[in-house]
Amino acid sequence: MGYTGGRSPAPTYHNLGDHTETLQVDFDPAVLSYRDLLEIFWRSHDPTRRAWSTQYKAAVFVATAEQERLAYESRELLAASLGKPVRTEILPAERFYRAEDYHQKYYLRADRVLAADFRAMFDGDEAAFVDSTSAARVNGYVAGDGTRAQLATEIDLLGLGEAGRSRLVSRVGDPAGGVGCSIL
Amino acid sequence: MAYAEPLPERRRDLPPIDMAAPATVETATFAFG
Repeated sequence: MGYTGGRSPAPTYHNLGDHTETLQVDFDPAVLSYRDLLEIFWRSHDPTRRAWSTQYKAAVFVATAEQERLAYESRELLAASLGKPVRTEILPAERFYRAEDYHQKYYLRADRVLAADFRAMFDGDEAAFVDSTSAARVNGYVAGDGTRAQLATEIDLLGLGEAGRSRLVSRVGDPAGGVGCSIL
Repeated sequence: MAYAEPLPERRRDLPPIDMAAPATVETATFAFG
């Protein structure tokens, strides 16, 4: 999670300036395509809604000509299928400022057992924790996405201790497990 | 004789899924409104 799109130097949550709250994700295109991510993005917000503010507007920040092409293409297809204007913006990616630690891996962080396991795993190295694929996966599961069958295929790869492992299994498939977007 | 300071607890190895992460990735950035 972080802030981008503006000109204000060193934005923070309480002093965002002209930046927008954003999610940045590193992905392996051999596993998941940018087109797939765009599909998730369009499904994860209301693209026809007028932006509340610069802080909370909807946008795709494109980093390459190919991302730009795919973003425009998918937006046009969506607008045609909805039959109304899509207000989500497509903008060039610029400097991304990481949000404060407490905004990162929000769902995982709120689970005391799992948070303790990850603290032990990363020994307080917040940057490594934020960049961790395992932390991203676990955060998604805790947020209510993913299935038990899916978890079973990768639980051994997540590096969890016994307590974290049991806790995660108990959270997945739990209707009260949470809401939200898995990739946050 | 002075005792040596205890070594800090050994940091666990990174999760296998992190070790297997590809060196080259793409970055995508989205704002959800």
